[in-house]
Amino acid sequence: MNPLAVAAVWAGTGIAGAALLPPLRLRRLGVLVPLAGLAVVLTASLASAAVPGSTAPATLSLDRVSQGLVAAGAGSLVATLLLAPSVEAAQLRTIGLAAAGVVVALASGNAIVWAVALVGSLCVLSLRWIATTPGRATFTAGRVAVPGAAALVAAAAFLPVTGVLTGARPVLASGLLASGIAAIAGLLPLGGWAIGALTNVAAADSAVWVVLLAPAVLLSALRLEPVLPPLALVYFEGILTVLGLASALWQGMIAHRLSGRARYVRVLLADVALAATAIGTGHMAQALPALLLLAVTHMTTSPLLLQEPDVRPRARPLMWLLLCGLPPGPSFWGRFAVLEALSQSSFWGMVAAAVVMVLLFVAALVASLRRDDGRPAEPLRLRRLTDEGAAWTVFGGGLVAGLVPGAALTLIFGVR
Amino acid sequence: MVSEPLLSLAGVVAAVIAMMVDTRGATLVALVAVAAGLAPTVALTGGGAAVLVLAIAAVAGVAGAILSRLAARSLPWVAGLDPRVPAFAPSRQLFGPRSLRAFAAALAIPIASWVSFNVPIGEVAVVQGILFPIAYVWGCGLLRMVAGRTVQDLAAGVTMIALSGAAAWLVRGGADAVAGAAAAASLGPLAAVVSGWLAGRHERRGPAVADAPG
Repeated sequence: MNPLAVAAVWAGTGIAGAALLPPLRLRRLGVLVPLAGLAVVLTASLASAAVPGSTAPATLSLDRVSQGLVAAGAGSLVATLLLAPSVEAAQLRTIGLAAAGVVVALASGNAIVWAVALVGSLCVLSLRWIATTPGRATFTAGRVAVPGAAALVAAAAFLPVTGVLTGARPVLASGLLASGIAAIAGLLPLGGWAIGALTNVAAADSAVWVVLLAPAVLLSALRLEPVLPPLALVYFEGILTVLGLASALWQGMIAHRLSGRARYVRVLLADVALAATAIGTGHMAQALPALLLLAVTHMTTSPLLLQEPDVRPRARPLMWLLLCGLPPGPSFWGRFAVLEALSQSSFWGMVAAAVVMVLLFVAALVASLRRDDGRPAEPLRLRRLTDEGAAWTVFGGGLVAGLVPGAALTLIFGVR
Repeated sequence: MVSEPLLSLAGVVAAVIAMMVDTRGATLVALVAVAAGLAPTVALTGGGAAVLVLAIAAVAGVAGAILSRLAARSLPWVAGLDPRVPAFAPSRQLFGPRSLRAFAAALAIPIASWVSFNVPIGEVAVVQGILFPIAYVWGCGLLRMVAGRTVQDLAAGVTMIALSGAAAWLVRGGADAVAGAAAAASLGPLAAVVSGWLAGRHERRGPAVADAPG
């Protein structure tokens, strides 16, 4: 199936689900939206990886890694909707439209279509966040993240720069690309919006950013590196490395002062920043596994840890353990790959990343031991059984990914 | 041959209008003004087809916004997001939002000027020096969003970014320039439609507190 059809199914089911399910009082069936997306992406015809450049705008090609990312993200979205205390119609529409934009961005080899798809996805998410929780925290997503993505639109006009070895053009293009990617991925100082948005809106509203948009934009960054000339690459990688490490350090330090969902958001943003740092090293062999394993980590932990504080199935403390960075958690392998990438490029960068990992280890361990992060057990009724089943299933998925990371990467993303 | 200062002037006037407009139909005004202001620049490099892209975007945006507004007004009132109401209370400050936008518009001039004179653009034939109006509209759109306080500010900013992105893609040229520009420009009408829809949903008065049951 054509990737455009995959995107159309995501958008169509999201809109249809939002229109049809609430009058039928069957909002719980909203899980059908990501399930339909999962089913259709598995039937997509695969091709080589799309690198934003000069391909014809209508030509979309989804590679195996992108397919795995969308499929795993869809699975994570199913778990998020199952664990959500309530599902709103607009959430389904938001999920469908934003995910459709991500599919187009991942599949497009045309720079302007890629940038516009990312801007569209962020606009949908920002509008939903502002509508559901009006305030400075959510409005900042529209004020910073969308203009950040707009930098990609500006950069698109200057791509490709493969043959341009000197002058202002490669520098401007790489600066705009790195700034846009940093803003979308929530790297400081451009990513302060992510903290406010992810902490304040419901998990089902923010999950698309966590499991699809942020990994997709970092995957695009990884794919852009081979086509950038040396001068552009210096700026591109430098910006990503510096902002990534600084963000990871900051988020790791602040995570200790917070609890519950706020702490999880900081750990999540620190991991996103670490993945960006790995990409900034330029060592693709380590950066790709780092990005994918950290994405899998948060695809398994975010459905539960991003929820409102009153959603506390018994697996919650164990979810925190998946994040502490010790085996058999997938976070261990992801962060280890980050260290490996940094060890080949910068000693002091590696030391800083090691400090971040210690901070994240302590934050996750303390959160898993805290009493206030786990409600006393309640009688297991049907609803609770569903919650427990979904929570333990994603926990099991994360555990398996951590036990056999290589096999998980091959199975989900086709990476060997 | 049209003189470059005239092209730049058209772009600057369009961007300033789009930057300062604050009325009910601000997104539409921004859409039409930017399309008209950038049309001479893209006509110079891309010809009639390039102008058509901007023209279709403007017409589709106006028609779509009016239709969506009318459709939204026919539906029952619901509590929700009004695009013209600030999303948060501003802190007490010396200058208001319009003054900030005027300052931002002035700030964008040297940035656009630097880009125009120093950065060549073009996939096949490299050109330099005609990017000023496009870069200025893009810069103003970016700053309008950054300084914005309402969803309408964001929609107007997205419109400016979309059309300037489309114009830059047209100036860049290459195969499928028109199709790529159409994809970029499509965000402008979409932003106008969403803004019109949200405005229409809240034009009808909600039930008064005294009329509410209980």
